[in-house]
Amino acid sequence: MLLCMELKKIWKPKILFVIVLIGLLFGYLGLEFSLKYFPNGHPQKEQYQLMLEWTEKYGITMEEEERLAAEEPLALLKEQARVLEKRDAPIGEDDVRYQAEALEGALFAYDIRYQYYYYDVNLENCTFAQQKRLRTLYDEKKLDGLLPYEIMENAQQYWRWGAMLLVLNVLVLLAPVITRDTLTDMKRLQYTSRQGRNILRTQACAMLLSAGGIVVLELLVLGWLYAGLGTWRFWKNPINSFFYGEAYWFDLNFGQYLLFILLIMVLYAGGTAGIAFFISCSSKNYISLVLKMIPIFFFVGMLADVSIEGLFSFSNPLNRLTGIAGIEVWCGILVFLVGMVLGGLAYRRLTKMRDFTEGIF
Amino acid sequence: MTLYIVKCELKKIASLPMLWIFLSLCLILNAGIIEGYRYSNVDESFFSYVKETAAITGTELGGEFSERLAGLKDSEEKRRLYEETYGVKNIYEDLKVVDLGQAYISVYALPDRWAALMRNKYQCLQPMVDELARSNAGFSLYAAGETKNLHDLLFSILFRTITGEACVLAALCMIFLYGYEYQNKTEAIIYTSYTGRNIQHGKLAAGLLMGCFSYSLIAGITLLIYLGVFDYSWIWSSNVSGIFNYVEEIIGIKPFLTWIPFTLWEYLLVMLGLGLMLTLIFGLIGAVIGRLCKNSYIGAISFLLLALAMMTAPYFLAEKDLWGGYFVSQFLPVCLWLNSSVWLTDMGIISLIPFHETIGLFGNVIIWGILTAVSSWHFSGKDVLL
Repeated sequence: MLLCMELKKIWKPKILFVIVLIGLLFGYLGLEFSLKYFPNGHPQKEQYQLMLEWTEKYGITMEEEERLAAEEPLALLKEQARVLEKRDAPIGEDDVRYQAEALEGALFAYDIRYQYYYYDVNLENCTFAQQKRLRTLYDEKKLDGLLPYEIMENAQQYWRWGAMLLVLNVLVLLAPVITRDTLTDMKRLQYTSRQGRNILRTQACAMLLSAGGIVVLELLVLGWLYAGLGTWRFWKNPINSFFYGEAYWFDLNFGQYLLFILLIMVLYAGGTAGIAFFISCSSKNYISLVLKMIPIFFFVGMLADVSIEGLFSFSNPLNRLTGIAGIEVWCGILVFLVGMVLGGLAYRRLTKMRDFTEGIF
Repeated sequence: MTLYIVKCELKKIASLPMLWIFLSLCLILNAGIIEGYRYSNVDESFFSYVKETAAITGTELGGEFSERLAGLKDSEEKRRLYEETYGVKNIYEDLKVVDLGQAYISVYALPDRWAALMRNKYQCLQPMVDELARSNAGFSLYAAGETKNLHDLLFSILFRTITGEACVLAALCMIFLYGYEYQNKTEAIIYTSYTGRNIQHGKLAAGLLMGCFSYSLIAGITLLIYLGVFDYSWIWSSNVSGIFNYVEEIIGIKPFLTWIPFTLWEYLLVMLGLGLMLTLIFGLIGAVIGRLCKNSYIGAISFLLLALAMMTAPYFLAEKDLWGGYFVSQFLPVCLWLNSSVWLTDMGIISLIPFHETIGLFGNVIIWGILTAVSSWHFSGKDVLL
C-alpha cells in the first residue's frame, strides 16, 4: 500500500509530461538525424542495399566463390555508368553510377581484408594485445562478415543519445523524491508513524522500481523507433566485417552488440538511480539538488556516451585510454556499483541519524 | 532599505554550499579543458618558438619577416614557420565577400527575399574587407600555424563553456531567490511586511549581482589559468582577421571577418562584455521563470525545457523551410550562446544583419526586462495563497 503511495508520488502527471517533453526535444536534437537520414547519402544507400541483398543470398558471411558470383553484375553496371557519363546525364536518386561505385567498393574491401597493409597504418600504434587480436582475426579468417559500413556508426550514434536521455530522465524523475519530503516537513510525520524510518526502505524500493520502469519505457520507445530502420535484418551478421574498417575485441553478431549497448544503458541508469537517491537525501532545497544533478548528468551522461562510442572496438575512447578489452561494460558496472553504494550509504545514514533535521553529512 | 534587502538576498544565495562547490567544479572543468586541449591539439614548442622569433622578426608577415627568419638558426620549428609564412599574399586584396554570400544562398537554396538580405549583408561587409586589405591585416602573424587551435580553444570552447556555466548559475540563483519564500513557507510573513512584495526588486538586483559575480569569477580565474599556460603577452596587438585565423563552414574555409577591425585584446574585452550581457539575460529569464513557478524544481525544469526548445527552434524551422522564423530564432538567447564563437563576424547563414549578436543581446535585455517587469506587476496583484 505504502509502496503504491510512494510510486504515485514519483509518477506524477506533471513530471511525466515534462519527461515526454524532454524526450521530444532532446530526441529531435539528437535522435532524429539517425532515424531520418539512414543510410545517409550515396553510395552509402547503395552499399546498405547491397549488403542486404548479399545477406539474403549468401548468408552472414561471404566466401570466395560467392565473391566471384557477386562480381558478375559489375561489368554491366560499369558499362551503363560509362554510357551515362558520356551523355553527361544528371545523377538521379537510384543512379546506376552509385550502384557501380558501391559494388566496386565492396568487392575491393573484400579483396584487401586480409592484407596487412589494410591495418598496418595503425599496427605501429597498436598495443601487444591489439596486435594479438588482429592476428587472430587474420589467422582464423574472421573478417568475412557482411555488415554495412553505416549500420554500426548509426547504431552507436543513436544509442549514445538514447543513453544520455535515459540518464537525464532518471535524474529528473527520481532526484526530487526525498527532497520534496524534507521541504514539506513530511519526515516528521513519516518517522512518527508506525512504519517509522522503514519508510525509507519503501521509498528506496519505489525509486528502484521507478528507475526500472523508466528504463523499460524508454528502451521500448527508442527500440520501437530504431526497429523502423530495418537493421534487425542484420541481427545475426558478425560485427567483424570486411566492409567496416574497425577491429573489435569480441566475436559478436550485430544483435548481441545491440544487447550489450542496452545492458550498458541499463547499468548507467541503475547507477544514476542510486546516485539520485543519494543526492535527494542530501539536498535541503531544490536548487542545491539541481546544482548536484547538473555535474552528475554531465559526468554519467558523458561516460555513457564514450562507452557506447565505438563499443568494443580499438577506437573506443575508454579502450584507447586503458587498453582493456570490454572496459566499457566494466565502466557501466562500476557506475552501477557506485550508485548502489552511495544509495546504500544515504539510506543507512538516514535510518541511523538521531536528529533527522540535519543533513546526512 | 533596498540595499539591506539586496544584502540579505545575497546572503541567502551565498549560504548555499552547493553554489561554491558548483563554481569550483566549473573551474576544474575549465582547467581540464585547457590541459586536455593543450596536450592533444596545440604544438607548444612551436608556439614558444614563434613567440621567441617574433621578438626578432616582428609580427607582420612579408619580405622582411621572411628575410629575418631565414637568418635564424635552423630547426624544425623554423622550417615550419618559414613554410607557413613565406610568400603570403594579402588575402583581402581581391576578396569579394558578395561571393561568400552567394555561396550561402546556393548551398542553402535561400528564397529570393532572404537571398537579397544575405547579399545586402555581405555588401555592407565589403568596405570592412577593403579596409583590412589597406591596413595589411592579413599579414598579422598572430600565432602562425597554431592560431586556429588557440583561437578555437579560447573563443569557441572556453568562452562558450564560461558563459554557459555563468548563464546557468545566474538563472538558477534567480529561480532560487524567487522560490525561497514559497519553499520556506514565509510568504505570508514577508508579503505582509512593510516592504511586502517590493522585496522582489531586491531579489532581482541580488540575482543579477550574483550572476555578474559568477561570470567574473569563472571568466577571471579561467583566463588566468589559460594565460598562465599560453603566454599571450606578445600577441595582444595581433589582428584577429589575420591570415592564420579562419572559419570552417559548409561553404569551405573563409577568413575570420569582423565588422570592425579588432586586435586580439580588443576582441577579448568586447567578447567578455557581451558574455556578461548574456549572463544578465539568463538572469532575467530566471527571474521570469521564478516569478511564474513557485516551486524551484519546476522552475529549474522549465528552464531546461525552455533552453532545449530554443536550441531546437532553428533546426526545426530550417527543416520546414521557414526561413523567416529561422533567422528570428537565431536571436534567441540560447542560439546566441551557441554561436558565440563567431560573434562580431559575418556569422554566415546565421544572420542577415551586421552586429547580429550585439543587436540580439540588447534586444533580449529589453524583451526579458519587459517580461520581468510584467511578471512582477502580475505578481503584485496576485493572491499569495494561490
